[in-house]
Amino acid sequence: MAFRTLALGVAVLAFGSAAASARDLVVVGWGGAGQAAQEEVFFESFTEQTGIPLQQESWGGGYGIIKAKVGTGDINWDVVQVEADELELGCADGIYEPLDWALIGTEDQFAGGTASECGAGTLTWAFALGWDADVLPEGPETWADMWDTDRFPGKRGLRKGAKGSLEIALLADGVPGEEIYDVLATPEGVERAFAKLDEIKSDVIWWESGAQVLQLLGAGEVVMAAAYDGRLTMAARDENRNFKLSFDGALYATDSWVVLKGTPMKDQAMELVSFMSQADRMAQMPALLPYSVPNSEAMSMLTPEEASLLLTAPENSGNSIPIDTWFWVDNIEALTTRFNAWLAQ
Amino acid sequence: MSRSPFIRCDGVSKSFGASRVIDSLQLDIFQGEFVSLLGPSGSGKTTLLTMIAGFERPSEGGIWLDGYRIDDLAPHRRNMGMVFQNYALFPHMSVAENVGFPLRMRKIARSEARTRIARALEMVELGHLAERRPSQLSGGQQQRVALARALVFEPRVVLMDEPLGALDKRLREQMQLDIRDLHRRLGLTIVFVTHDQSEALTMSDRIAVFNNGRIEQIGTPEVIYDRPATRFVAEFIGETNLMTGKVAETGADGSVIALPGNTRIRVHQRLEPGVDVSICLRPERLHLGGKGGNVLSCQVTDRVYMGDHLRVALDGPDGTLIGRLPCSANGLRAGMPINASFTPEDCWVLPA
Amino acid sequence: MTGSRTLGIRAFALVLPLILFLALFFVWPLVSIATTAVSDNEVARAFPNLGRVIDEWDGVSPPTPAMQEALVADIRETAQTAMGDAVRRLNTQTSGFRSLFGRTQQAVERAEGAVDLPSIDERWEDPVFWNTIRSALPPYTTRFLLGALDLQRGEAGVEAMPPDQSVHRQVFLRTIGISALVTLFCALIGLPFAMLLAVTTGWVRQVLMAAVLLPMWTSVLVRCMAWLIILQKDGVMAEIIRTLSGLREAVPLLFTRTGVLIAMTHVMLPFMILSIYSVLIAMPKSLMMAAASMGARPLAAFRTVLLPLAMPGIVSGALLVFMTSLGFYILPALLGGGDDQLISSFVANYAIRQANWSLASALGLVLLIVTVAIFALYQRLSDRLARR
Repeated sequence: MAFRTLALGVAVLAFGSAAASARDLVVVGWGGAGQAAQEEVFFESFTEQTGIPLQQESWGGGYGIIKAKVGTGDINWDVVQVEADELELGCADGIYEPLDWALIGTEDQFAGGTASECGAGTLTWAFALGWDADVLPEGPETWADMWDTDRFPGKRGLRKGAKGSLEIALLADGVPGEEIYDVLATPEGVERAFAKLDEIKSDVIWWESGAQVLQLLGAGEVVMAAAYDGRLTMAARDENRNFKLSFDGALYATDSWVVLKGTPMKDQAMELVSFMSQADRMAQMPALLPYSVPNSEAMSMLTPEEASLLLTAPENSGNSIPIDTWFWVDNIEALTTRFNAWLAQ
Repeated sequence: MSRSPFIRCDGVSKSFGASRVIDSLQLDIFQGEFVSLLGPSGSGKTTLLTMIAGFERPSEGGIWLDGYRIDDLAPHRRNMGMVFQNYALFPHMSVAENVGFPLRMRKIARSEARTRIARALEMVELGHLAERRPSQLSGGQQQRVALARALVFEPRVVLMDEPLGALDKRLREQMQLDIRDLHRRLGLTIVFVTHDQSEALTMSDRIAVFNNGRIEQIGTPEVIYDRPATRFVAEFIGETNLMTGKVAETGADGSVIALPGNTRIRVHQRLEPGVDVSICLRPERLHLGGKGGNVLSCQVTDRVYMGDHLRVALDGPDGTLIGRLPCSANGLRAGMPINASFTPEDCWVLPA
Repeated sequence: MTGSRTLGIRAFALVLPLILFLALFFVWPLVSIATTAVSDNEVARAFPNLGRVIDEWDGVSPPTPAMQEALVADIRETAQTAMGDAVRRLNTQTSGFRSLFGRTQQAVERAEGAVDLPSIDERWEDPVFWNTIRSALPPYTTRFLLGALDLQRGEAGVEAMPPDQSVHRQVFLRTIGISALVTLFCALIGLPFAMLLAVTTGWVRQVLMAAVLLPMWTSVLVRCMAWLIILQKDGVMAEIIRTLSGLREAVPLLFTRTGVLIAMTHVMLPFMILSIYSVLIAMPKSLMMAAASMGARPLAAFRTVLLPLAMPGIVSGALLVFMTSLGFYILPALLGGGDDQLISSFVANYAIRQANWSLASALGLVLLIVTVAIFALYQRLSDRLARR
C-alpha cells in the first residue's frame, strides 16, 4: 500500500497534479513495430472517425504497474493491451471495467473465450522456433533440435522467465503437447523441465523484449531462438532477412484490450475498444503485423498469402499448444522464484 | 681569487614556447657563499633556481656542480636542500617525520636518523614540537621546519625560493638573522631567491640583480648599492634621485655635468665630455646648508616624520629631490626655501 | 520575551522548508518502505468472519462448517479489489489460490444461502489452503524480511529455504562482489588518469577532461547500447582481443560477467576520476618537488607523498562508485547473462511483474542496511585515519 502511495507521490511531484484532469484518451500498447501497426490501423482512423484525440504510451507488461495505477486512483492510462494472465488476474482483482459486448456487437465472432468479461482479444502470438536460414540453411525443425548442440553449434535465445521456457524444455524432452501442463503441475515434472534446461544452460542467452531477440538473431549472437512469430516474420519481410520459423510445438496466447477501472474517460475508452474489435478493422492488421487475430470474421477476410504466414494457417497450426493461463496465474510466483534460483546458480 | 666556482651556470637560456625567460646567463657561485637572486617577479630568478634544482632543463648552455655537468641529473640525485615559498611541508606527516623524510629516502638507520632529526630541530629551536602536524604550527614555525628539513641531510647546496615571503615583518627580520647565522655556523652554500631588496642587502655575500631574464649586475651588497651598474639596478635597490644631464668638462679631480636647468654638478668620476649621463644620488647623502661642493637652492614641498629620520621632498632647479635628514631638522616646513648640498663623492654617474 | 519567541518562530519558519523536504524525500519513503516490508494486512482485511472462527480449528482435520460458512460470508461481503489483494498475497505462499478462488467466487455468486465448498473444488478439503489463510491473518509479518535473506519460519523456528528457492543471499553477495570489483578497476584506472589530468595544462587537459565529462553527460542507456555494439561477437573489442592474444576463436564478451564489468567500470570511472582529481588539484605542486629535492625517487615520492595525500579522494570516490554500483539495474540486464543480474533486477521483478511490493520493499530494506553498514565502516575508518 505504502509503496503504491509512494509511487503516486513521486509521480505527482514529477509531473504535476494538473495532468490528471482534462486529458486525452490514453491507449497503451507494447511499443515497437507492433504499436506502429496499431497506430496505422486503429488509432489514427479512430481519431479520424470519432474526433476523439488519442495519446499513445507503451509498456512491457508487468501486473504490478497497472495494479498500482488503479490502486492509487490516479488513472492516467485508459485502454491497455495486456497478456492473458494479466487479463485473468486483473479481472479477478476487479481492476478492469467489464465490457459491454452487446454494445460492441461482435462477441460471436471471437473464438475460444477471447471475448471475455474484461477483455477484447486483439492478437494471438506464439513462441515459435526461429532461425536465420543464411546461418543455418538446414534449419532446426523442433524444440528438440534446440538441444542438439552438435548439429547446431552456437548460442540459443530463450525468453528470460519460467513461462514458456519450462514448456519448451518438456516438449524437447519428448512430452506430448497436450500433456505438458499436467506434467508441470507435479514436482517431478518441474524437476524434469529444469533438468532439461540444465543441459543447454551455458548455451542460452536470455532475452527480455521482442525487439531484443530480433537484434540477437540479426547480429548472429544466437543461431536460433524462441521468438514471437509475428515480429520475426515482419523483420524478415521489412529488413529482407532470411529468418525462418517452425510452428511445430509453438506456444500461443492471446493479448487483449482492457479498460482500467475508474478511468474518467470510460465512455471514450469503450468506444475505442469497440472500434478495435470490428472484423473489417482487425482484418487490416495481419498485413502489417503478421499475427493472427482472434476474430474469425476478420480472419476470413485475409488474402491467402497473408493467411499462410500465420500460426492459424492449416499447414502451421498442426501441433501448436495454447499456453495454460490459469496454470501460470496459480504458479507464476513459485516457478519464477525457482527459475531465478536456478538461473543464479 | 683563483678558486673554481662550486656552481657554474654557463650560457644558460630557457624558453617556454616562444617566450625566452632566461637569456644566455652567466653566473658562478663559490663554496660557502650566500648568493641572492634579486629581481621583480617574472625576471627569471625562480626559473634559474628550478634549473639548478633540476626541475627544469636549460634550453641552451649548461650547469655544473663541483666540476660535473648536472643537466641530465634527476632532481633526487642532486643532493640539494630546497626551501619553498609555501614551505611544502607534507601535511600527512608529523614535524619529525617531515624532517626525517630525506634521511628515510637515504635509508639511514633509524637510530642515527633520530639523533639527526633531534639535532636539526634543536638547531631551529623546535625540538618540543616534533610530534605536531604542520597544520598545528604557526607560519614561522613551519618555515623553520622546512629549513630543518632542507638541512638535516647536510646537502652541498641549499636553494631557497622566497622562503620568507609569507611571514610578517617582525618574524621575517628575525628569520633573516637566523638564516644568516646558520649560514655562517654551518658554512653552507646558499642560493636565495627574493624580490625584496632589503632582504637581499641584509643577508647576502653577493647579489645577482635580475631583469628580463638577464643579470644586470652581480656584486656585494655595498657595490650593488653604492655603485649600481645600470639605471634599473639603481632604481630597484633602495631609493634614488636620478638627474639626467650631459658631461660638460672633465678635469684631473673629476667631471662637471650640466643639467638641463643650467645647474652644474661636480662628480669625482672622470667622464668623456659631451656624453649623456644620469647622476645617482642616494637620499641620505643630501645635507642642509651650503657646504659640500654641490649646492642646490630648493623649496620644501613636503616633510614626513619617520621616527628615525625626516623624509623631505624638495623642489629643486631640475625637478624633485628626495632627502633623508636627521630628525634635528624637524623645524622644516612646507614652503620654506633651503639649500641642499652634497659632495662629488656622494654622486655616482651611470650611462643615461 | 515575546520578541525572542517571535524570533524563534521566524527561525523555525526559515528551516521549515528544509524539514519538510527531508520528511518528504527521506523520512517518508524510508518509513513507507519499512512498513510495506513488514505489513501483511490484506488477508485479515478480506476475511474478517473467517478470522473470528479459524482459531478454534485444529489445523489438521477437514475444515469445520463454521469456517466454510465464514469464508462464504467473506466472499460475499468483501469488495472485489480487497479480495484480489488477499488472494494475490495467499498465492505467493501457496500456489493454486488464484484458480481456487476464481472458481469459488463464481460459484458463490451464483448460489444463494449455504454453499458446500469441497463440492465446488476438492482443494477446499486440503488443510494446506486453510492453514495458509490462518498464517497470513496477523497484520505484521517477518516473512518477507526473512524471505529477502532466503530464510523462512519452519516448525523449529527460523530455517534456511530449500536451495532450489534460495537466490537472494547469492545475489546480494554477487551484487557486493561485482560492485567491489568495479570499484577496484575504477581506482586502478582512475588514479593514473587523475594524476595525468592534474599535471597537464592547456588544451591537453581540456581534451582529457572532455574525455571524462562527455560520457558522463550521455545517458546510461545510450552508453549501454554503445557497449552492446562494441562488445558483440564481431565487434571492435572482440577484434582487438583477438589481435592482441592471437587466439583464433572469438572471446565472448557480450552477456558475460566480463562485459558487465567493462561497461560498469566505464560508467562509474568519471566519478572516481573527478573525486581523485579534486584532491590532487588542491595539492600544492611543490610537495612532489620537495620530495624529489630530498632524494625521493619518483616511485618513492608516489608511495610516500602522493598516494597518502590522494587517499581521501580515492576513498570517497570508491564509496561513491561502490554505493552507486550496488543499485545498477539496466546495464547488467542488457549486457549481462542470466547469472550477472544484480539485486535491483530482483526488486524490479517483484514490484513490476508480481506486484509483490512487500518482498520488493524487504529486499530494498536489506540493501539499504548493507549500504548503511558499509558507510558506517567507512566513517569509522576515516575517523581513525584522521585521528592518526
